[in-house]
Amino acid sequence: MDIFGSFSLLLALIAAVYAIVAGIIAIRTRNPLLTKSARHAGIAIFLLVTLAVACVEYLFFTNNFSMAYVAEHSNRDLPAFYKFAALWAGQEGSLLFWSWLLSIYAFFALFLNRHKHPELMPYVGVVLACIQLFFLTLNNFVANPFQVLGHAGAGGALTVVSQADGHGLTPLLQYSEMVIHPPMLYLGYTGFSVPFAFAMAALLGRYPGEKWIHITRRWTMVAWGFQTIGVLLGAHWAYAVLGWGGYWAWDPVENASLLPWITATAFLHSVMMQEKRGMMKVWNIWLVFITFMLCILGTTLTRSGAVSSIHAFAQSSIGTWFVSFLALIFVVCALAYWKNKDYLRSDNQLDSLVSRESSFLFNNLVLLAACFAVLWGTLFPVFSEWVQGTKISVGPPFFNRVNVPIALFLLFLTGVGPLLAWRKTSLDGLKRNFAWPLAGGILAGVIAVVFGMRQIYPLICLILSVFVTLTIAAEFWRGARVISARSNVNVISAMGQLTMRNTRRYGGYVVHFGMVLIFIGIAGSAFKLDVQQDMPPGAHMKLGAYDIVSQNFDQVQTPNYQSERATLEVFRNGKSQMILYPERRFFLASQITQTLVGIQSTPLRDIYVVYDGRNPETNRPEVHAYLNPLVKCIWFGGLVVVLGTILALLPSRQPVLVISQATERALAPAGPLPQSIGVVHGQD
Amino acid sequence: MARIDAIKRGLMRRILLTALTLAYALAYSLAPAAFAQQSTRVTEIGKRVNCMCAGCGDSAALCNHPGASFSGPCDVAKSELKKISERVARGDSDDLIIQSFIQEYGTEVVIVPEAKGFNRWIWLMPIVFVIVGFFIVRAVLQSWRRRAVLAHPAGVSADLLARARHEIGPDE
Repeated sequence: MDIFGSFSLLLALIAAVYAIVAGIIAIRTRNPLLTKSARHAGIAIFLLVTLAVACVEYLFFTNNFSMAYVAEHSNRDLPAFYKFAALWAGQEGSLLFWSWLLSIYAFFALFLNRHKHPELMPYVGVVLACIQLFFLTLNNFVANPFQVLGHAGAGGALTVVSQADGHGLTPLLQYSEMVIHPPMLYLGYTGFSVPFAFAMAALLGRYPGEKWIHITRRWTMVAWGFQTIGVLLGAHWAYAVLGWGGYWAWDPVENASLLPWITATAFLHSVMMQEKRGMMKVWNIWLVFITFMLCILGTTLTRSGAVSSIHAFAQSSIGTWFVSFLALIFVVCALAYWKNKDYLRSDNQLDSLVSRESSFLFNNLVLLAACFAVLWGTLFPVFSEWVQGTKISVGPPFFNRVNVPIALFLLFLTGVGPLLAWRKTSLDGLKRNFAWPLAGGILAGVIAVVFGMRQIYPLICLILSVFVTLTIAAEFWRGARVISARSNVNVISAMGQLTMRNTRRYGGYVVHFGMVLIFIGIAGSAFKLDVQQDMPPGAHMKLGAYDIVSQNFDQVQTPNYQSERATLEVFRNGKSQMILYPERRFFLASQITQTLVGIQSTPLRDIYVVYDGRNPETNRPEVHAYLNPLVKCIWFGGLVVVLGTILALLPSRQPVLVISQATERALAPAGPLPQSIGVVHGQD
Repeated sequence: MARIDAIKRGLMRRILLTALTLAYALAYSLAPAAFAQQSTRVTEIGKRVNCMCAGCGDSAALCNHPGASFSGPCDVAKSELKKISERVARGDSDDLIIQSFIQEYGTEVVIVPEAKGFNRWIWLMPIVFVIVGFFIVRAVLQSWRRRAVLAHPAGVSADLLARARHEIGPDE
């Protein structure tokens, strides 16, 4: 099976080379048969890489410990669920996984558009095949997952050695979310290849019109949605598994996942300027290029070991390959732009400084400032070592201090932007749109101060969150009111109709509301409490309004691990609220200990307890307990963001002629159309 | 029309009331916590120095060692916290304690470098980026504005043009 898998990978590489060569010739000769053949080669890559992936999974499920990758990342007692996820546990597998997801995207991009955009698609196929060629080269020659364990025998022949059992999967990955988190993140990373391919294709082929920008936007939204899920699942995994009471540590690999997400967010906003007004073409194309380059940079950071990270399981010298690839992409992008910059020429005009256009420009500035700050903080230890020769570290205080004000300004723009009209907003319009939301925000702030909230950033966050929520509500209300009055339906169903008539716009508002919830959840961390103390059976711990009583410590034995488990009862006002069971598991195959946190979550607060093991000084069990306010808002907000993204991806309903019953009666005799008839446009 | 206005006012009132209730609930849930901060000075200083076990990249106070042979604060982090605790008991200032760690482990021990020499650039660059970016955006907006003024000669006001365009095309 390993030979079959290796052969599939090699054939996929040959197919990628063929897709590039045939594609380039097809573009030059405009030969439709060759175009079709190149497309089929692109689709064949998907089938071949899928075969290779199936082979790796087969080797995992059959416990073939003569394979180096299987022996390193699995063992006999590993549950089947995790054997499947072991594919992306190490470098070779995760690079193969990357190739596979990329081939899936390429398959869909080529197949769904096989009868569309005949001028554009050959270029798209070539660009995607070039990216695939790079990853398939790594899969075949640099990090091949089908290497066997063996040694040189007599006469130099390879003797295959099979181990009785494997080393097991790292305990960090033995958590249900870990089966979903990496695929989601990888779907985000690889997904940005498709908009990159369309943008590059449009530039190289000087594709007329703005159609390519609509296609690019939709693919970016898909990748952005997956990246959002991936980032949030990663944060939730860090929260539930790592046991330090937080969800975001500004680890270089976490930062790497955030960078393309930020630039893609900027693109999803600024692209509207191009669609509505034909502006910012150069800026948009570079945002797509930068987003893709940041995906490769993120992988470089993860793989190269240039910056220290907890994701150390994937480090190697492969970083050189990625740095070279990154440099090549940059050169290609710069050359393509330089050669075709006249194609991106646009007539940028602004009727007023107080307009939607201005707000988008500031939105992009703020997002890029956040992106730059994160990138700068992540790479600064490397620069410092080059310049000063001394290693320094840049931790969470830097990222928090720099990014919190930027994020709050962005939250403010989230509220302001939708209230400004395209081209020009009048003073009356400003007053009408801002008065209620602003009043609501300020009132919320006053109430918070009265109740003792004194920390400035959470207070600003609360005011802005209420402000943005009210602006979103007002937008829904204004639109729904018109439909309600015209079609005699109640406001709630009118809101449903309104949303479905312009899914992109109202889906965007739902995403904004999800972001508000995430901001509220993050602001809650400013009020976190934590207590750490020895907790022998019967001992008490005070955590805010709660009392935690240690009831028992017991041991659990399974074939995969041994566990020591604490039983902690939580009381409030003398009444028992819950029992929590934090654990420490010792995984037998990998000989690694891992914590399992006990969490009891409500919308307002989480009680989060970690069993630290025995205190070496007192030999008594030690417990670290946290009271984390509003964390659930983050996860719920993430869900709302994802739902909003799906909504925005749905096609809008066609324009509908809305005629009220009264108007219908008035229309009975022929006559001119009265004012109360309106066409509600559903636009994508 | 009057009925619609009444409905509008009623709904806005309800939205505002909901927002205020939400704010009240948030403030209520957060405010008691704000008064009851229990983090000790040792923990706060522990968050300013790295765990020097050469593996986890966490601060001494938040060390959790994923993937290592232990989980939870490791011995190195615990010994660092113990040193902080001893120095706090001795009456040393926060800065003095941090300096003693730099002497013992080097500059890498500090979780964020002091703004001195080359390290100053870590703080300066994001500010420079925002300021330069702001001026670029302003310049871009002004140049676009100038083009619009040149493109719309007197006689057709920008207001009128915006209104006409608004009526022609749907808003986003």
